[in-house]
Amino acid sequence: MKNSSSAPCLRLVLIGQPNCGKSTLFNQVAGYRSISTNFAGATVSFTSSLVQIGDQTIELIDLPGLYSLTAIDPATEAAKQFLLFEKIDLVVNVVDASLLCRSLELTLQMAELGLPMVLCLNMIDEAQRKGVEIDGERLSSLLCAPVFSTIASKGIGVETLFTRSVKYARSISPMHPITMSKHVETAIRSVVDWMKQCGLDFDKPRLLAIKLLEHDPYYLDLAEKRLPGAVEKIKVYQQMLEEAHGQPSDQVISAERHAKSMELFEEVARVGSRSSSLWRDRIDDLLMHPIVGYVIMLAVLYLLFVSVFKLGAFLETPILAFFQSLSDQMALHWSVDSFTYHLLNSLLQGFSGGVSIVLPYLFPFLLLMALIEDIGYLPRMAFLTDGIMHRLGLHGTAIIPLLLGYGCTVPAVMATRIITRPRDRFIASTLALFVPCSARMTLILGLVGFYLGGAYAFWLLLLNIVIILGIGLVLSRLSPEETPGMIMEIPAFQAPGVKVVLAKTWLRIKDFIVIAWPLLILGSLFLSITEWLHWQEGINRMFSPLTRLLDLPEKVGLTIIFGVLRKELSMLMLFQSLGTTEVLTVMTPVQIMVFTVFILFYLPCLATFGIMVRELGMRKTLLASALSLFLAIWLAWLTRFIAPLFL
Amino acid sequence: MMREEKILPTLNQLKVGQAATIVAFSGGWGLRQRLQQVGLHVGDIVRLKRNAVLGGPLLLTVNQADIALSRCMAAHIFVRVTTLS
Repeated sequence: MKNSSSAPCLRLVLIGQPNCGKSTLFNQVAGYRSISTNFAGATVSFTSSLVQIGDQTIELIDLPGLYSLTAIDPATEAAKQFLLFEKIDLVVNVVDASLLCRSLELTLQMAELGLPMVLCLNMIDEAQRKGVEIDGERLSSLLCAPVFSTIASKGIGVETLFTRSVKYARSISPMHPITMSKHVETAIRSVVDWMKQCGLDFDKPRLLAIKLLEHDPYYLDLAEKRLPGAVEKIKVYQQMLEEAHGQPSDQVISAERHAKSMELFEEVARVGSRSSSLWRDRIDDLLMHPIVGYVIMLAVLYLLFVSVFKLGAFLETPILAFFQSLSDQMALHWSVDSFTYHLLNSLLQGFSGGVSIVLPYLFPFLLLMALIEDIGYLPRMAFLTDGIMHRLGLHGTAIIPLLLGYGCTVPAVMATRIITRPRDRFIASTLALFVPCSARMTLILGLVGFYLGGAYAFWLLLLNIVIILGIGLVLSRLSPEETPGMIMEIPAFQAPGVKVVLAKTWLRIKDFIVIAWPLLILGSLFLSITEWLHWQEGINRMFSPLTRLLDLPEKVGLTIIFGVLRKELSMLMLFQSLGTTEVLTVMTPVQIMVFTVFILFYLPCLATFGIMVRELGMRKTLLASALSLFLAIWLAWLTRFIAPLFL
Repeated sequence: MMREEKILPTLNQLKVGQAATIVAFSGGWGLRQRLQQVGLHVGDIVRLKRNAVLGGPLLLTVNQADIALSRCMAAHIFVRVTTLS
């Protein structure tokens, strides 16, 4: 948003109801240059890109989907404020043509904004399948706005939409509000007149009047701030509507918009018989079946994770071997004790760490996720798991980031994006922190499994799951935000668009490259400098209160820092600082258990921290980190006393 | 109207395959907004398409859209059953 004043180029904003194919449309034209930006003062983000249309460069913005200019969650709140207060040259209202009637309810509200607008009838193929034929010209003349038809997933009509929009952007006149029925219009007019009389100033008076009548708290607050006492006064007008209709005023206006949309719909659409799309219903019957549905879901998840991990492991080995050989090469050129060697080697390690996470794990995973998302499977999964996850105080979709955590916490935290409510997102990402990522898994298997036996590793993993469930329960009880329950559209299945899936994957990988990777490299750099300066002892002394509390050898102090910077290094460093791989000669089995429990739960690694700040904001990240540190110390301390009973 | 609401069934009491007309909402402003925004208005005809297990949501068809709705929200929607199946 910071570019709003400096960018003289045309600014087009895509808006539409969720699942209307808006982002598909965006990705068709935006390409690799798109960036996701946070709204000012919110952790909700939107995507924008500079796009070349003909000989003009325009700024294209993809706002979060919204049903109405009355916001019901932070994402729609941010989108609404953007529409109300930012400079916008042209609104492209994307509409799911197969749900034209309901979609027009948003269009009618958009008309109140008084901005130049074009209507994009997307997914006309889906509409045809449902037997709906739409007369675009008629709709255009009724709305007094240009109407285009597209099938965004196939790229059909997209070019025409944008070239025409850009060409006429400056000459399209702002949209006029659609007249509602007489009694509602009278109420609106009285409110507008009253606002004018008492000097309640707002550049979209009609919109404000409607929203005040609808009792939208955001606009009431806005009015009260500009004119103290406004809320009291507006009640009179609301009551006028309520008495005439025997319904709450917001319901009256909503019904009015609904009726108006129906009227428009019947005027422009011909509904014939739906052509056979029975196979879609059949697939849905299976996917949402009370038994088969779960089997398929588990199979999909299993395949997803196995293919990612298998492919990851398969690719990671040669990649690591390659970098190891580079490192060996370096050792030939520079003395192993020299500063140059330390510096170069740490940079190489940070770089290779990134490569060995991104290429083998993150890329295939994000690609498959984007695919599953694009087809429309996620809402169905949420439908199936909602009943169970609800007991944890979360919605069904939260299961995905949790499972993902077993690979790497970074994509897990990124995957919480599919959760819309901030509270749920916070809980899900915090829980994801405690899921042992592959690096911590190495520790569990390589330390506990190897030195104490596989059974202990298994029980530790099981205990970890129990604790995660416990934390979930506690966290959701601690923030007992009224859980409104699920209300979610289940969109029709669609064939995935290659371009869209790739664009989504790339956009997410870019986040990793820009945020997590540099942190990984910095971490490596810091570690090697510590090593070169022989700061180990000082650091060990610094951590001695903690190591004493947990009854661990003082030497492991250093590995605790390493665990924050690069979790996968903690085991390696343990060997290095103990000076032996015969851990049992220097640590008791109980100490090994305590150490593992501590590393398992404490602080996210630096890369995760960076991504979390990006996704949730600094405050929540610090909160989650503090929680994990507290929990790790407490659990490890408990282990110190409980483990001797079993070991 | 109040007396009528008491004897009317709520949406969560429908059987799979049944269709019904929405008569009234019993929740507050927030609930009404959320329902109306996804296209559930008084007077609309809804059909219960599917029930999820373990207290999961209902799947409704309304105006050609499929909507998953939790049971507790559905309990706030009074309906008049229009078909028996």
